[in-house]
Amino acid sequence: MRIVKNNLLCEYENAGGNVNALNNKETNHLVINENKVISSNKTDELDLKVIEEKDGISLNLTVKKDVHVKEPVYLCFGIIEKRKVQNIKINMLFEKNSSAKLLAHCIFPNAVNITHNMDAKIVLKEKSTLSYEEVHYHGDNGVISVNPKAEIFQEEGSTYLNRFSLLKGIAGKVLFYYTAHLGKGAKCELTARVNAIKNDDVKIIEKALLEGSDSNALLNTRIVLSDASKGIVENTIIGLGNNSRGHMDCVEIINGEEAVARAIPLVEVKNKTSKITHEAAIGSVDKTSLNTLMSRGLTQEEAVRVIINGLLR
Amino acid sequence: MTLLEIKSVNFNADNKKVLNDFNLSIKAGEVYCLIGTNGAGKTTLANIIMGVVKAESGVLLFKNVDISRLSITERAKMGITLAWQKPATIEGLSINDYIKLGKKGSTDADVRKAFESVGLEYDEFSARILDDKLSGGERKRIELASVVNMDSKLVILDEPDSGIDMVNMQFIKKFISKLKELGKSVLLITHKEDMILLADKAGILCAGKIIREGEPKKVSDYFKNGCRVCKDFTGENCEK
Ligand SMILES: Nc1ncnc2c1ncn2[C@@H]1O[C@H](COP(=O)(O)OP(=O)(O)OP(=O)(O)O)[C@@H](O)[C@H]1O
Ligand SMILES: [Mg+2]
Repeated sequence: MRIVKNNLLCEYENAGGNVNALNNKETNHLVINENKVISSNKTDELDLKVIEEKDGISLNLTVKKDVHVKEPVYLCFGIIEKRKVQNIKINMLFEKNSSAKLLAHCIFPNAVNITHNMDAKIVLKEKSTLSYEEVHYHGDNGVISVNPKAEIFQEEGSTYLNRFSLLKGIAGKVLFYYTAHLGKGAKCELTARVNAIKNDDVKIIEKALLEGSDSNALLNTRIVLSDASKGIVENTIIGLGNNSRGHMDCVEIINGEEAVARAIPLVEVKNKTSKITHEAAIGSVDKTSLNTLMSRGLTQEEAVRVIINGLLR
Repeated sequence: MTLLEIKSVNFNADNKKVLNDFNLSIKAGEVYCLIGTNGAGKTTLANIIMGVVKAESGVLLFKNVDISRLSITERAKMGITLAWQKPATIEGLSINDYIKLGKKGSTDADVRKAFESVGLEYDEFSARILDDKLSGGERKRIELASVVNMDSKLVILDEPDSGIDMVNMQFIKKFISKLKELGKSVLLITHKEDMILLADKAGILCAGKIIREGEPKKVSDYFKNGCRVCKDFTGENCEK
């Protein structure tokens, strides 16, 4: 069946979503508007159960042992309506030595008053790999409240790569709350990119608990704060396992007269062979970079744009 | 024709007189080599010409226009640019885009040409990011590629040769000749003798002034011999 594009799929395309993939029987996809599945396809590579609930959906995804899902799994959680609450419940299980890449778009283009809550539990068994990318595509106005919450349990040698980006439209009131428990030799990278404007209020809380030996976590956060927006980054890494390693790298750029940035890094080591480093730069655009670009003939505004665009990549 | 004229410029950093009633003039199409000991004030001078720091007093004339109150951008638009001694890193910016920034409407072919002039492989570097994963010498050569892709009249090169391996030094030398062929003036800051010899004229910066200026070989020899003996760096006891 060829998919007839409705409003959400048009927006999905605008948001950079891969509409062609939705017509391909070889790729997995799931498109949700509010609490309804409007399009889906599932290959033999994974188990996918979706239940439509009153205010959202609940989703169970399992990748079986030794299965490597070839193409990305395309997900879209949208709300075309102006006022709605959407609760997404996710349970993911990656069995031993399995892998997949998930690409999710969250689209709220017409928001007047929208709340999107996501609550995910992700279990990565031994040597499995999950790469999860979540792209938000918001309208330029309205009240949007975005609350992605996830707890990730990583067993030995598993890898979790997460990228969260909110670059289009207003960010709204964002509470991003991710906790990863890392087992032996597990690796986790949490990357967040947010462009906050107007009265956006963004809070990023990421926690990596390095429980297993030789586990490794990287928390990388970039927020650009314009107008009267507010950004708070509360990242935590706790080193428990032998030779565990963690690094957090947070840059918040203030680019608005009334913008406020705050970073509260928490680094704790409870094992003398563990090591955690952190770097943070909070404030205006780097002067050396600015001077360099201006010496190429860019105006200050153009140079700031180039630096900000690079940072949010 | 004089392109850049610096008259009676003073600049202090903390309590040190870095530039003290400093004068310099560079002609159109001329390669002027500035030498001097570490800390003499060469980079400071480059920054003052580019507008990164402002002189406390004095006059800066570029094409006979007083530029001392102009911003970095305005100076760059008039035709001044600077390849920095310590080039910046810019997270997320591709080298290809960085090179193109300096000239509106630049194409990939322009980037390729700029790369060739400093011996960089286009396929290896164009898509890479201008971040700290680049080696020091790579970053330096990218900086040169970036300034050659500009319609500038005066190119300040602050130690373009530092951190460059012996194999690639030939490209840096050719690069300077190329700027000259293109009719640009170059203010070349260097510590390397064979680079000095590429210049039309050389000057020694010491005690905040150009204490000697002229034919590159002579100036270089004087610096090596005369200046080593002096060691007081006051500029008062130079053999005239
Ligand atoms: N902002 C500053 N604050 C304090 N001192 C400064 C400042 N800027 C420059 N200086 C000092 O001024 C002097 C000139 O520095 P400059 O970088 O211009 O030297 P240079 O000739 O380029 O040296 P090098 O050959 O090592 O590159 C040095 O002693 C330096 O420490
Ligand atoms: Mg210097």
